[in-house]
Amino acid sequence: MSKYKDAPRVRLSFALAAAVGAMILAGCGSSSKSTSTTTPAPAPAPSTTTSTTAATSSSTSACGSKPGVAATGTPINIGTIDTHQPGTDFTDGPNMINAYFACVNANGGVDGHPLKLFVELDQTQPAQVAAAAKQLIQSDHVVAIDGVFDLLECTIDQSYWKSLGIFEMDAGIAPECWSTPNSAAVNMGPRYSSDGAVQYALASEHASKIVFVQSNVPGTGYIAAGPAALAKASKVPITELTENVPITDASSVALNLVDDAGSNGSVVLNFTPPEALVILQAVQKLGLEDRVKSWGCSTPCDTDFLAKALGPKWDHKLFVNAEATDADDHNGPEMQLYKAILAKYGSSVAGGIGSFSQFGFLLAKFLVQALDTVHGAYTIKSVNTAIEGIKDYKSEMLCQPWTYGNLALHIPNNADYTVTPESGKMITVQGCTSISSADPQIAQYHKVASAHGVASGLS
Amino acid sequence: MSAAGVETADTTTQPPSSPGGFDTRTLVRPAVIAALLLFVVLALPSILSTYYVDAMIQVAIWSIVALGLGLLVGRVGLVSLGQAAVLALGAWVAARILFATSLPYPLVLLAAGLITMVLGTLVGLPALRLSGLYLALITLMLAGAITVVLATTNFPNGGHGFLGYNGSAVHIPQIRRPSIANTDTAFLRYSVIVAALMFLLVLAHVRTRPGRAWAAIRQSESAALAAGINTTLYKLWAFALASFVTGVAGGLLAGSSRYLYSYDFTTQESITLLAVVLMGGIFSLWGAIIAGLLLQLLPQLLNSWGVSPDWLTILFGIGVLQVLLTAPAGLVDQVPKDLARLGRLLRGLARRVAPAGGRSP
Repeated sequence: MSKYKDAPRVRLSFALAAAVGAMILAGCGSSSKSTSTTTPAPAPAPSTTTSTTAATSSSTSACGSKPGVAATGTPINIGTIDTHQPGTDFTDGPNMINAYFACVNANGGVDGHPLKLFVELDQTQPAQVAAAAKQLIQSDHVVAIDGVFDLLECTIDQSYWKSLGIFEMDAGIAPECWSTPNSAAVNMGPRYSSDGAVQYALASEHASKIVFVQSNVPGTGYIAAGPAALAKASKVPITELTENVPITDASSVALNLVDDAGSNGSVVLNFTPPEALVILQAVQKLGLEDRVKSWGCSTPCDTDFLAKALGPKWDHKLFVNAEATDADDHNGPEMQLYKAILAKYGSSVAGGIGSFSQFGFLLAKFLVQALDTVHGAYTIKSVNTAIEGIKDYKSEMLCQPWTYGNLALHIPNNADYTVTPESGKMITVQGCTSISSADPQIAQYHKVASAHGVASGLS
Repeated sequence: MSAAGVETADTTTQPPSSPGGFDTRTLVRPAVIAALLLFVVLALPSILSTYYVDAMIQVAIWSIVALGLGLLVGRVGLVSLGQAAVLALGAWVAARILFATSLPYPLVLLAAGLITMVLGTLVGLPALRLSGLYLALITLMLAGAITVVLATTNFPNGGHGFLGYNGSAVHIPQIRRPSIANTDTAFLRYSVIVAALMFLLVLAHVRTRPGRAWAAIRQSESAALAAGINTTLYKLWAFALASFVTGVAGGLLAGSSRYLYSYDFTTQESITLLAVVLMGGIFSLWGAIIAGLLLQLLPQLLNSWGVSPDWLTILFGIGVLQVLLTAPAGLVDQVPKDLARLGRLLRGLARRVAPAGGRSP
């Protein structure tokens, strides 16, 4: 102990230096809270494609009611909770919402009110997600929860939102995003997206067997129940497998999948692109891609990155479920607006064009449309009444109009596309197709929606 | 490091001198602690917003976990890198019992503590022959193994069978809380009381024969053996006690989170825990509370200030470096001393300025 007594000043100065250094470092860090502003637009996003940069900045004026007039009223606070941790970063979603809000704020806002997004990030810790919800309501005074891209949030916060009368809009993962009264998603999620991929293999590729493999994470049984129901309805055998991620022995996985499926079977993957790519590259390395009837994958595989990384051997061999319109194939007014906003305000959207930013765009757009129907003050009650009242909002990006409604469960996006790699890009091979009601959850949604007079399928 | 440790540890194991049979100091300290505890139990939950109530529940829980690890590292000299996995075991057991039975919550906590104690003691068996880096490595590997098993079996979520996991659940039911502590504020009070009991339990050990035996083992295992101490028994005792309190903390965690996922208990969590325990101070029970605050309150504070909690990894790294180099007894020892020095410095400056000011026209 005595030797330390000789150096109190050293210790104190080291402690101070460490604290100051840490504070400086922390101060330089990216904030876990990002807010939209009415300040001039940021520089164009470098990651956007040629079609993005081709969109003119003037076309962003379509996002607001008063082109070129900055909103200066009291901000309307909106909250979101998003997963952000090593290996799972969903922040492109809220970043796109922020880009959309920036566009709205620069063009009149919502009846003169700018929109301000409060983003809470979590590392898949339930207590953290619950605390984030309370922070948004009690400290940030948000009036709506919009744009939740999170692994757990729908499960953790459902009862809290219900107690407050909040109707969240999300692009989620957890089962409760599609099975509870206070959540509605613009995406399909892993279950219904896997349904779509299996459905294509059964109906279009006429697979005599399905091998469905997914990452071993909580809720695999819930996800696999959909494909199992579809296969059962088609009287086709299905093998359900799970693999721990990260995958360490992709060759073994590839061999097992091919052996299980057989020459007339199809293999359907439900993995994020890095893991799916590892498996598919192992298949290619072993020359197994033609040993089965077809390969399928849920929505996460719908990226040009995957198409480029795999190469031409997979063209029209891998069929990927797509929950939203392919941005490369379509260029209607809404898609142009999406690309223009991304170019002008979306510098923080790291992935550029993609399903995350498309869903972020839709969630922001639907919210603004709902806010436009509010008369009087923007309170939790008035705003959420407007959100719950969303009915038949049309979008080029979705197969069907999007409805919230006072329903026990919400699966408003239940029709999809199928895409396949071709020359390093994903192209559409099948247009809008309803997910089969053989999945009992889809059947239940149609039943509930029908009872409430809500159109729930393709028109 | 050991010198400082011994000095601080000894002050806690020896009662203060009481020449006249009565020393006011012996009453003042418990009175202050009791007043502080009463404030935290009665007043604090009513003052805090529910955001910070949630954070303080986590502080109470992780203080217990840090207490267990501090006991192993600071008192016995056993470096364990598997405490987050032991916590996961406690949470798993508690969740399973809570879903399967309607047992009162205190009994569930006790059962979770006892079952985790048995499992944790098994984990501690290698400690009989290993120490230092090798023990740390073994406990780390065991933690990794438990994490893999939990990733496969998952946490109970109201399903049937031994595992109690229903992978097909469309609605995952919440883990129940005690009927008297269903709200967040009530659960904070409940957690603080349970934490206080765990601290008293450990204090009772530290101040009696086991505490003296652990101090001897930490100083020199050979000398302890020569002195007739059953080192095997006392090492296992330490693992059992640390596992018991960590298991109880797991039971509280199950009730506080209401949902448990395997990815909440990463191997990295055990490493971060050791870092904050070292920073807080391993030779004083107060260090465990500091560790709990660092681990659970600081991220929430940073978050509410708009600073990414990711920076904490760097901050904790610097903190551990600073502690190892200059303050082996941790912040609990260093901060009061540094504040006292700062006070003396300011008083000295004030004295220098005052005469100068007096001479000025």
